[in-house]
Amino acid sequence: MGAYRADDDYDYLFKVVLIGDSGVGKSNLLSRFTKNEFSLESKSTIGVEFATRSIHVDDKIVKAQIWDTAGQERYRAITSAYYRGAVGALLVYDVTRHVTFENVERWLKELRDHTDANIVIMLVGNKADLRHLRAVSTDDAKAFAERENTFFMETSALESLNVDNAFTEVLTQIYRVVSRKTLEIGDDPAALPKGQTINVGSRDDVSAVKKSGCCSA
Amino acid sequence: MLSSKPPRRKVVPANGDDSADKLDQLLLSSAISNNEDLGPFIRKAFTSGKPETLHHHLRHFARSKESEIEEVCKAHYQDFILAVDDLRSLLSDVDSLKSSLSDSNSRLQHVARPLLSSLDAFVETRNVSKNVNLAIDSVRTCVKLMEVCTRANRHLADDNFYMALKCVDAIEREYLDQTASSTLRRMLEKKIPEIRSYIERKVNKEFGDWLVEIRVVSRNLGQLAIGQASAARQREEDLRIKQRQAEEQSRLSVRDCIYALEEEDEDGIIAGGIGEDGGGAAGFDLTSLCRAYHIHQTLGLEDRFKQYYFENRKLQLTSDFQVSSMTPFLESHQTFFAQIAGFFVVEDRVLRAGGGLISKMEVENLWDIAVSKMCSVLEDQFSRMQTANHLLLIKDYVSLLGVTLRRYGYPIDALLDVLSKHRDKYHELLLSDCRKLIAEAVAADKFEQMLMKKEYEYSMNVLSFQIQTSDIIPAFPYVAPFSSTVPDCCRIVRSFIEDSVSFMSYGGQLEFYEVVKKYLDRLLSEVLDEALVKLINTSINGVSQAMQMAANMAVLERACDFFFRHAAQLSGVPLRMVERSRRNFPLRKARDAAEEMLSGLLKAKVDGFMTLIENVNWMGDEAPQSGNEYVNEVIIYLEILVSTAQQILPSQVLKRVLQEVFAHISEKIVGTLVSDSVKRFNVNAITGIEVDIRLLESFADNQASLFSDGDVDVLRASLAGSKQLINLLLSNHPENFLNPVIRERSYNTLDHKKVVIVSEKLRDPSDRLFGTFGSRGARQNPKRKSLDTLIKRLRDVS
Repeated sequence: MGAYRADDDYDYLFKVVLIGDSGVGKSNLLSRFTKNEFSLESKSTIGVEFATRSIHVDDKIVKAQIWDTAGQERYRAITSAYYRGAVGALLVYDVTRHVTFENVERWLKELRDHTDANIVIMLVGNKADLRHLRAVSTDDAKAFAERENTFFMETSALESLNVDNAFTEVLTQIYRVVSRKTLEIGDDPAALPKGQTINVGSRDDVSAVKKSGCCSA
Repeated sequence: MLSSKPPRRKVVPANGDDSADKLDQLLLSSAISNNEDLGPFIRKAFTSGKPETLHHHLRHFARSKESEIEEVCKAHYQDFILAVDDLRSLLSDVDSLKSSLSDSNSRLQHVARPLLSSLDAFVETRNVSKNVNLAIDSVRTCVKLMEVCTRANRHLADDNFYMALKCVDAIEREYLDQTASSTLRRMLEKKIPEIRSYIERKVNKEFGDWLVEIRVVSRNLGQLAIGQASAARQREEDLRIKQRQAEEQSRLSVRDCIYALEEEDEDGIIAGGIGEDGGGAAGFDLTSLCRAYHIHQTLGLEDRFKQYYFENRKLQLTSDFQVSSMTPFLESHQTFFAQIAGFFVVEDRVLRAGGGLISKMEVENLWDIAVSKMCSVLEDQFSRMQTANHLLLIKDYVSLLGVTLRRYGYPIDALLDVLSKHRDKYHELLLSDCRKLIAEAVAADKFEQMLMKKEYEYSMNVLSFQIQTSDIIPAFPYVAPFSSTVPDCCRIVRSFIEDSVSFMSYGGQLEFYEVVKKYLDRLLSEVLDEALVKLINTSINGVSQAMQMAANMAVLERACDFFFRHAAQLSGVPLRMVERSRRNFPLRKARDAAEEMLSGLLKAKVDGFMTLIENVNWMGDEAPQSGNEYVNEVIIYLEILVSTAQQILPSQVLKRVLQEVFAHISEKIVGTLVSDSVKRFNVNAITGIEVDIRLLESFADNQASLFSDGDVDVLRASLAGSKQLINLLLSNHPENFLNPVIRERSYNTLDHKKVVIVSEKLRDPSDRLFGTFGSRGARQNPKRKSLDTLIKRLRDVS
């Protein structure tokens, strides 16, 4: 898509945004996926940060440009620019704080107000490792995702649980949408892909995924 | 050898200083004799500058000694020769001995060689034996080590972490240094920390699982504990109802008073409360937690685990504080409070049975945090609630929570303070609700007496509010003296009382009757009284409706007594204390308004009949013997009125109303005489009015049977105004009005101005005859003269 290909060789460049309340772990999800790092410091994101990582989907090189934003209200002025051109979104809440899940509906509305109807949305319940502090049940979130036609996964940036899966799934679905649109030029471009509930994987799935070498580091 | 010794030769001193030399020689001789050190003497010789003399003496002495030596050698020459011969002989013997020794040595070696071989073999064998023993010891140590390792592995496999740690400690303490094999030692040094880390991770995972599980258990536990408190409260309530019934019986019929003491059913109460061992389904398991704590103690990580436990439990408690904005608090509050209650039931157990895992101060800190949060949530939720029932629901659950946790030793005063603080709001909401309900009930009134076809209707509408006038159950169908407003409002007020008591009870304040009474007073005097006044002033249409309202007010007055008794009973206050303190009727304004309305309407009605007074012939030749038309009409109307009113109005109310009406009639009569519509009248007309008043008085006398006190003077007194005026006009001495004593006794209601006006209108029959002869003088009668005097005097006064 991008004309500028001097440094990197890729077939697709997808912009993906991370949204959600402050403190739910968006930045750690980003750093875990792009740099395999986790920081225990709870330092608030200022403005916008983004990072990139490339993966392989169907023998194509898909480069993800992932934008991370502050959840606080005072940085909301960047809304339109932030969302422009996004083809995927990870809507993050914290499973230990019910209020962050309650605000998902507002984030979802804002996202849909500013983005294309074909955007791929993944609802992400982060901090799933804190089982003894859980305040949002998996069933409640799953029902919400089904109702709102989004994908759903529970993750733990701390334990690397399902982080790669979440991003990879979003990028794969974006690739599917783009491929279908290319094949069906002029044929029902406004169709929104049906939401699917992804089974919440255990930690072993992450190890299996890593062993299979399907991701390039 | 030497047989003799030659005598010592004396040396002759040389010439010189005789005295000094002699002294020195004596000292020197003495020193030599005593074997003393001669150094000082020799040094003195050198320092005094006389070494040559000393040398000369010494050389002389030496030559003398050499002579002695030569003599000794000459004497011992023979002995020397003999000695040499002896030595030569000895040499020969030694050679013989030498040969003999060599032979012995050869024989000895020949004999010892086999023994030496045996010795070498023995030494070698002994070394081998020692090495084997060392190996055996080492192997034995290894066997023991392996046994302990095997045991450790078995304990690990069986998840007996404590025993596994004990084995590992034993290995480290007793076997590590004894192990000869460096390979084995390196392995142990590597594996021991690994095993400890493995155990720590395993135990921490178990603890994590326990934390997840205990959260669900806590909610169920809290609900169960609060449910138990609720059941206990229900039993208390049932007991109180029975006591109230017994008290009611004793009040109504002393002879039938029966008191029965009931034993409390102890089986229903679990001794020690929920969570104790043997509590069955109510119990919960601290095994994982105690095991984790014990393992960490064994690992030497006790403080770290205690801190970890406290911090995570605090995080769980903080998580429990989340109040969802998606679910109304009315729906989620039970889960919210039950979760917190269960948390502290668990912490109480951990405090008592956890072996010091958590301290009392830490639990109190957690409790302070929880109480602050619960109070904050309650303040917020209460401030947003606009329905009294909602506050009551929350309050009930919070008070049950308080009872539950107080049993575990947690102070709950702050929670009760929040409830007390919102007491006013609750009652304001109740009053607001009741205001709407009463407005609806009042608006629905048709001002008709209620018809009750069945006994249960009578019981529901009459007996339940104790507004019956007789203890005898009437025949059915029964027509009540009141309209539907009365029982409807009574139900609303009773509901208010019960809701008020519900909020105040179990709220920490034991004596709350005064509060309930205060709000009940407000309900009755502000809400109900105002609603009834408004109804009376805006919706009454006709005398019958006004009469119904007056009847209603009389019934409500009895109901108010019931309300305060009911409030006292529900508040646990003895009835005799309530009855001792009489109070003002709270609905007085409405009652006064009703009676005023009824009186007003009756007066208006009477005014209609009183207009007939215009038909009176004020200058008639004869007095009417059976009264004027207007008064007969009034009396007929009043008779019909009384026959209707006495069915529903109490006698006191009826009497008050009739007083008003009679006073009004009297005023109308006087007003008519004073008004411009009457220009003049004669004695015959006044006599007719007197007959009218007597007819009214006769009617009043006929009503005496209606009044319990039989007092009819009150009604008569209402006619005093007109009667006194008529008496004055008919008197032969009207000037007596000027006498203060007579006036106070007989004419005290009369006004001077009116007397003047009316008196001037009185005409003698002769006035008309002489009207045409104005110029002629007539002879005045004595009454006329007296009347003129009165008029003149009163006019002068004014």
